[in-house]
Amino acid sequence: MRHSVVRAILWKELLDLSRDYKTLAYVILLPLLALPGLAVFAGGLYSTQSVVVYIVDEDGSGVSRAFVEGLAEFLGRGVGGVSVEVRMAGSLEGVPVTSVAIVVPQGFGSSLESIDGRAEVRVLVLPGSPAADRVVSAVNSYVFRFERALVEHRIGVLAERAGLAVDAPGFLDPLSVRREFWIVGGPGGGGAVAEEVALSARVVAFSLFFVVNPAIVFVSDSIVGERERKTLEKLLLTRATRLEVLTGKILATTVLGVAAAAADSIALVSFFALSGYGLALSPLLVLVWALSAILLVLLTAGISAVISVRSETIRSAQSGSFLVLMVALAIYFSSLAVDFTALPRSVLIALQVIPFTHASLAVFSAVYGDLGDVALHLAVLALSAALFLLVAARSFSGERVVMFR
Amino acid sequence: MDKNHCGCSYDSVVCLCGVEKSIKGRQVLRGVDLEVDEGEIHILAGLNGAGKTTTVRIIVGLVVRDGGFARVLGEDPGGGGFGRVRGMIGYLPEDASVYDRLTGLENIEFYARLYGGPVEEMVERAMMYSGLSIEDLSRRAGGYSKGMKRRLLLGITLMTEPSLVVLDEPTSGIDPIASHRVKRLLRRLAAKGRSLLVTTHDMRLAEEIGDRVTIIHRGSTLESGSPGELMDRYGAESLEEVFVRVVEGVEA
Repeated sequence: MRHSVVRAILWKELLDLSRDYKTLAYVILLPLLALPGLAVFAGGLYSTQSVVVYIVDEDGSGVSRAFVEGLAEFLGRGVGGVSVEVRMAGSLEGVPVTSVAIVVPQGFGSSLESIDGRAEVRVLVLPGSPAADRVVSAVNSYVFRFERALVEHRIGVLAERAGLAVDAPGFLDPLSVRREFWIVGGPGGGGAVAEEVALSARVVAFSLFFVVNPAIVFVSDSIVGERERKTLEKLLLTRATRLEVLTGKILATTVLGVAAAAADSIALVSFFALSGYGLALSPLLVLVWALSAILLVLLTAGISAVISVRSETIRSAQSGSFLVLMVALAIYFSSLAVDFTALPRSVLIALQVIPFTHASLAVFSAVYGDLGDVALHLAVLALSAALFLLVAARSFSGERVVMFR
Repeated sequence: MDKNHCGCSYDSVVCLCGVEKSIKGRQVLRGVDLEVDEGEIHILAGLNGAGKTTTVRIIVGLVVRDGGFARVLGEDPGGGGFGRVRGMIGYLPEDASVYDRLTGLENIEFYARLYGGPVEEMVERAMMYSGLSIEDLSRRAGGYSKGMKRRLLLGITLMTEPSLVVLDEPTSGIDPIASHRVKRLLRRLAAKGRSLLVTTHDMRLAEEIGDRVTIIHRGSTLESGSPGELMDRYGAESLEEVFVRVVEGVEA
């Protein structure tokens, strides 16, 4: 393979694509604006939600007053981004159904003042309202605290009557679980940071899905599109070999595909960050993502090239290639929810027959700090890409190019 | 002069005999005979669908024949040694186009780099053969007229100074002035000793510039000779009349 020929094809492809401003805008600029914009938009809409909460104290006892005042103060601090306005009412009469009503019934105080009495609080909401659900969740949280304080008080009373010294928290929680982490990369290594690194790995592994789509579009256009634009026949009559032509085209696709993938990934990370998820992207994780993305573009371009050289039109090339996209989608969506290391060995081996899986596994291996595994998965990706490129070159005969007309 | 088993002289630039080709189960060529000599303009004439384009694609090595004999510049175009002479052939397909987002000059530079050799010399030659001005060549080719694109492609085809020039319908769809320019250029190239194979169904063009004419119909060669010989043979006043009689003779 002559480098000067590959360079010439790469130069032409990049020049041609760099002047296709609309495609560049759609593939690179649009995701950079759209995903963070979506997060800001959804977050903005969410934060503008407001719920009016009516607290109806039908009991009027000292205990109910303490409960109601504490609850009003607790809700007044804000509920998960939802704006809450608390109003007091003597009865449910006149309370609008769009609001949340918390009813403290008669007998509430006397029940709770006894050593084993039970009381209940009624919460009235409209079904299917996410904002109301947030308020109910906050009410439950307050009730749990109030209840805890009450139980500790009852333990104290009982202990005093029995003449015992009792540590109420120890009495209530004799056994606890502390969560620690195995080897996790990233700053600090443990605790909340480790969870952020693990979440980041899942987000990064999922973002690999966005690498696949631009590669399919660019390669199918570069091969079938060139045939449809009537420029391929003349190109094949130069001294460039089929392998040189395909290599130049796939390298150009890789440059643009990686740029598009970077834009998509930055947008996705921004989306998560703006949506309130803490992400910790270690240098190793970013490096492995970049290497995986480059090899993934090459692999996808190789597979798409095999399909494209056998396709009559750009539509059939892209439709065929989207089957590849579906496989990638299945793998990378799974990486959001599935722990690959927990899969049975036979399932994991079957998954590894699909080359796309190795990009995900490389990312997760980076998080576990297993650099040997990272190298192995990247090597499998590289070999698969080379294999598909060779198959595409063998299928890329002049006869096939002209016969499809 | 020594002849091979097909009746072609050994120094002929193109020699086809009994060439056959099927595409997607349909026999497109049933027996094409063709001989192109050095320094001549040879017209391959036929109706649309006669097999002209498939024949020239076999000659330039884009399509491999199923049967028959073929030698181009001494090599079998379906064989492994054809790569040695591929660079000596300039081919302009009928519906070829240029890269619209590249300027005319960038189109020329791209092909010059792919052909190898001294790029600057080739670029200069392409500019000369295309006859396009520097201003035109500095513009994106997407804004060119069909005639300008054709001239640009002709310049690119000729920039390697090929020994054999194969042009598929070179004047199709271009205006009379551009057509006149192409014809003048073809005569100039033949005078320099280049061999030209031109496909067309325009018999006036064939009569005007052709040294020899081969008529093919439904994938078979029906007649071959100089325009004068063919007109004498059929007692016709024009090549167009010859063509009609030859083709109608088969149809009858």
